[in-house]
Amino acid sequence: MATEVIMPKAGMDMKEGQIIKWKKKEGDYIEAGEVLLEIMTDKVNMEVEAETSGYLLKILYEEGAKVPVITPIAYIGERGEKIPEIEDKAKVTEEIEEAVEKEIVQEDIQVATNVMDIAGKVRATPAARRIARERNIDLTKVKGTGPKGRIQKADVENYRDSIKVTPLARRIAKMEGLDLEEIKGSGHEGKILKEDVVGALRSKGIADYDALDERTEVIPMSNVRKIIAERMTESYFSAPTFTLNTEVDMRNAIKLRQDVKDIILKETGKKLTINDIILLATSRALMKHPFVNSRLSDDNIILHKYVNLAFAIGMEDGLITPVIKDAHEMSLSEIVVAAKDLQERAMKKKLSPDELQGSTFTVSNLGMYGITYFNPIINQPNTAILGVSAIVDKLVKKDEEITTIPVMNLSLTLDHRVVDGVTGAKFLQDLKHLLENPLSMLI
Amino acid sequence: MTDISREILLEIYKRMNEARAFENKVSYFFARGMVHGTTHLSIGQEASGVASCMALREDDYITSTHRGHSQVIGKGIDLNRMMAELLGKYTGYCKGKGGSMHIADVEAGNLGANGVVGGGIPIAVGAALTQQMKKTGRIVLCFFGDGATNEGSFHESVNLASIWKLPVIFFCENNLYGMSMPQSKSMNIENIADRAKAYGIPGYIIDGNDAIEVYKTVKEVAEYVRNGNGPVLIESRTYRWLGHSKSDAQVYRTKEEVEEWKAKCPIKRLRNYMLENNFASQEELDKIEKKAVEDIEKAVEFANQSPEPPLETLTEDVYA
Amino acid sequence: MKDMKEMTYKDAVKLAMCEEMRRDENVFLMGEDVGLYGGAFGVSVGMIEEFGEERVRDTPISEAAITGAAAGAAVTGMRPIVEIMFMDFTTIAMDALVNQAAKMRYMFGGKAKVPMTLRCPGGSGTGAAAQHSQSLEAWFCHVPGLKVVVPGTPADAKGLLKAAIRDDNPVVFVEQKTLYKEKGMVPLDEDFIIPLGKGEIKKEGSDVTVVTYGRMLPRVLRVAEELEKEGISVEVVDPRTLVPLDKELIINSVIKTGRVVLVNEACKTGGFIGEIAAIIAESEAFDYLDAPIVRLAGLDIPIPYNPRLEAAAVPSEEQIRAGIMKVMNR
Repeated sequence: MATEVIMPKAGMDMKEGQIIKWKKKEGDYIEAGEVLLEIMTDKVNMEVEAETSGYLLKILYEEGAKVPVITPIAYIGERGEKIPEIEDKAKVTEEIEEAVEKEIVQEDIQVATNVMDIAGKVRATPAARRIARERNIDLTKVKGTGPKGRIQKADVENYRDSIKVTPLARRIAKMEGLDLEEIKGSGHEGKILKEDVVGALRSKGIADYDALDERTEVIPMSNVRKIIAERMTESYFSAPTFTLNTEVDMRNAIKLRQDVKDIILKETGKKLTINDIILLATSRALMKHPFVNSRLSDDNIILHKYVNLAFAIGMEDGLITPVIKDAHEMSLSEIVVAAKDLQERAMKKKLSPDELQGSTFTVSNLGMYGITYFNPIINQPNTAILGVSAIVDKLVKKDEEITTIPVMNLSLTLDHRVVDGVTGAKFLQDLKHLLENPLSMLI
Repeated sequence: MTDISREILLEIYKRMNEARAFENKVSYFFARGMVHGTTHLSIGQEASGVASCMALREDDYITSTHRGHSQVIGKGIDLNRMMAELLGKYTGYCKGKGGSMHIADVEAGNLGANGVVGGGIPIAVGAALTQQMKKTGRIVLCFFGDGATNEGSFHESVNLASIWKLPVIFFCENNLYGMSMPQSKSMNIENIADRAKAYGIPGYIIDGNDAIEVYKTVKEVAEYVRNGNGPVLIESRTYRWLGHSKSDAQVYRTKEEVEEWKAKCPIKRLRNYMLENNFASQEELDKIEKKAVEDIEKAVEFANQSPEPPLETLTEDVYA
Repeated sequence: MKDMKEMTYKDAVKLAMCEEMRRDENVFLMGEDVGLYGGAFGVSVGMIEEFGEERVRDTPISEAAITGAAAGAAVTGMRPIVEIMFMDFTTIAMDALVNQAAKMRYMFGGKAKVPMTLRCPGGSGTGAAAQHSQSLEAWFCHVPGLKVVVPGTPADAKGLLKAAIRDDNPVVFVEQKTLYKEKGMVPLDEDFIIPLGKGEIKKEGSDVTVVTYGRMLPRVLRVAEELEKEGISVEVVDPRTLVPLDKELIINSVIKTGRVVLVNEACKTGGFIGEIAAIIAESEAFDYLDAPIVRLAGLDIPIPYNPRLEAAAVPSEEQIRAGIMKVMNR
C-alpha cells in the first residue's frame, strides 16, 4: 500500500503548515531521506524529507495550501499502486464524526431513545443538506444552532472554514468585499485561487481591479508578518510601557573586543561583535535584576533564575527573535558561537520552532543602521526589552580639552505592570557599569 | 289480438334473440375465463328489458342496471361496440373503461348501466327534471330491481319525481331475488307496485315475461307521463334463469322453481304468439334467431380484432 | 372592469349564482328551503322572486335524490347548483356524488359531462355541535372526478362559484358558515372568474410560508400582520381550490421561505393539509426546507357543543402564532 506523507507537527503549538514548495512532482522517484517539500510553520521554513523510497504518486495539496498538521498531503509508493485517499480521509473525518456524534447523542438522548437510534446520523434540515452538498461541506463538521442541535441552512452558510482558498485569493476577496461563497474554486478540491477571485470580480464588472493590479501590488501577509502583527498588537495594547534611556561610554568595550576577537576567531571560527559583548553584559546584569527578567502570568509575576536571551534579527520579510538558551551560564565565546549559529540559520530560515520560543528578555540592536535612539516594543511575554543604538563619537571636554569618545545609547522599555522606573533604572545602571568596565564581567 | 304492428313485434323478437344470444356468448366466455371481472345476465328477463324500451320514443332516455344487457339492446345498440366493451376493448362504448356494468350511450339516450343498486334512480329523476325544464317532450324510463326498492334513493327519488310531476317511468324488474334474498323476506308486501301509493302515483303490475303486455303497458304509461301527469311505477314480474352473478351457487332457490320459470320463456312465448296469430312464419322466425346468433359471432369477431385501450388513456377523461 | 363593492361572503355567493342564472338559463338552484325561506343561512334570499320556483327549487329533505337528480340533470344538459344545508349531510348524498357524478365521465369512456355544483356550508363555530359542524373537504379531494373549492374571502367566493358553475365537472363548493357575514370588496364585473386550480398569495412574506384556506384564512392573516410588526415576514398562501391544487404556488413559496406551517380547520388525521405536506416533501421544495413542516389542524374529535370546548377544537390565533414561532425557532 502507498505510504502517506503528512504535514508534520513541528513544534508544540503548530496547528497547521503551509506548503511552500514541492521539490518533486507527481511521478518522480524519491529516495528515503531526500527532501520532498518545503513547508512553513508559524515562523520558519522547514524541509520535509521522504520517509520511504518510491514514486510520488499523488500530491494532495498545492503550493500555498495551508494544511492542518498530521493531514496526509501526498502519497509515495510503487507505480500504479492505489492511493488509499478515500479511506484515509474517512479516518480523519471519523474522528471528528465521533466527537460530533457524542455531542449530538448527549443532547438528544431522550429523543433518541424514543424515536430511533440516530448514531451516525447528523440532524440537519433538507435545505442545510442541499447547501452542504452543493458546497462540498461535511455536515459532521458544522455546528447546528437549531432545536436539538439541528443544522440549519444558516449554519452551513456560516461555515466559512469549509472554503478552501489561497491566502492571496482570500486577501483580494476581502479587499474587494467579495463573498468567497459566491466564488467557485478551480484549484484542488475546489480551492479558490487568485484567478478565480479576479474572474469573479471581472464578471461582476468591477473593472477597478485591473487598474489596481497595475499600479499597486498586493502582497499577502506572510505567516511571519501575520504573527508579528498579532504579537506586537497584543503587546502594544496590553502592556502600559515606559522607556528609560542611558548613554554608555564604549571605549572599554571596544578595547575588549579588539583584545580578544582574534583569540575567539581562532578558537571558534566566529567573529566577535560588540553585540556579543552587550549580550553577555545583559545576561549578567539580568541575574541581579530578576524583575526585569520576568513575565506576567495572570496575577503572578514569574521571576526567572536563568536568562534565555532573545535577540532580534531583521530580515526581508520580517523580524525574528531566536533565543540563546541559558545565556547566564555562557562565556563570551559561547555566546558568540550561539548567536552566530542562530543568526546564520535564521538567514537561511532553518531555525526550529523551539529555537524561537522561551525567551525571558530580548535585545534589539539597530546600531548597524546608525539609529541613535528608539523606542522598542516589548516582545511578550517578556517584561522588558533593551534597544541598542549605534555607537557614535561624542564630543567631551576632558582636562580642558575637547575630545571625542564613542558612546552608545541604551533604551530599556519596561512593562509598568511589573516594574517601576527605579527597578529599570537600577538595571540600566548596572548594565552601563558592566559595559564601561567589561573586565568586571570576568570576575 | 293485439294492435301492435308486425314490424314492431318482429323487431322485439329480433332484439330479444340478440339479447339471448349475446348473454349466452358472454356466459360462454366467462365460464372459460376469457374475460375478467363479473357480469350479471338477464336470460329469462328479455321481454321485460327489450319490450319496455321498444315502447319508448327513440329520443327518450333510460337508466339501466347491472343486469342491463336486455335493456340496452332493447333501446337499440351497436352489438359490436357492446361486445367490444365487454371484452374491454378500445372500440367499446366506454373505450374499455366501463365493462359490463357501465354500458352507456348518453347521446342515444342510454344514461348508463349502474353498479350500485338504486344508484341510477335519482339520476333518472334528474334527467326527467331536465326534460321538464327544457320542455323537450322526452321521458325517462328508469330500470331497477326489486332489491333497489328497499334503498333510500328509491323512496327519495320517487317522492321527488312525484311532487315535481317529472316525466319518468319507474320500471321495476321484479325477478324475486335481491341476490339471494327473496322478496318475501326483504319486504312485508306482496306487490312492489303498492309502494306507488305512498307517493301518490299510479302503480301497475305486469307479467314481465309477456312482451306484448310489457310493450302495451309502457306505451300507454309513456303517454300519460309525457303529458305531464307525473311519474308511474310499473312492477314487471319476471325471473332470471341464471344466478345473480357468475359466482352464484344458487343455494337459495330450488331447481324446480328455475325449471318452472324456464317453461315460461319470454322468447318462446312471443314466438308462439306470433305463429298462432299469423304474424310471422316459422321460417321467418328461425331466420331471425339464426341471424341473431350470427350477428353476435360477428360482434365477437369485431371485438377480438379491436385494439386494447392504449395505456395513455388511463388518466384521460377523469375531468371534462 | 366595473366597480368593486363591499359585500358579505354570503351576498357574494348569491351574486355569483344570480349572475350565472341570468347568463345561462340551464343554471338553476335546488335544495332544502332555498326558495321562500332563502336557504338555512339566507344565502338565496330573494332569488325565488327573481327566478321563480322553477329555477329556485325547494326540495324535500332528500339529499341522495337531490344530488343524484343534479347529476342526472347535469348529464342531460342542465347546470344545476345543489345546496346541501350542512356539509355533514353530504354523507347521505355520497353515492350520488362519489359513485355516480364523479365517475360517469370516466366509466362511460369520456362521453358524458356532469356540470353540477354542490354548495355546502362547512365548519364549526356556530354551536351546531357534532353533526352540523364538520369540515369534510378531504373526503371529496380523495375522489377523482370531483373538484373541491373552499373560498376564504367574499371576492374569492364570487369568482370561484362562477367558475364552478361554468365548469363541466361536478364541483363541491365548500362555503364557510362563520365567514358568511365577513365583508370584503367584491368585483361587480360579470366576467370576474377565478379559475379553479389557481391559488393566491394573500400576503407576501419572506421568512415563513403559511398555507391555509377557508375559515382559517382570516385568522392566519391577522396573525401574519401582527408578526410583521415584530419582524417576522409571513407569506400567506391560499390555494382556494383543493382539487385541482395550485401546487406550483405552494412549492415556490416554500422554496422562497424554507419554512412552512399548514393550517386547516378539519381534523388533523387524514386532513387535506397532510396531502399538502406530502406534496411539499416530495417536491423540489424539500431541499429548501429549513425546519420540519408544521401542521395546525382541528383535534381528532367530533365538534363539541359547549362554546369554550368548541373554540378549543380548532386552531386559534394564539396557536397559529405559536406554530409560526415554532417553525421559526423563536
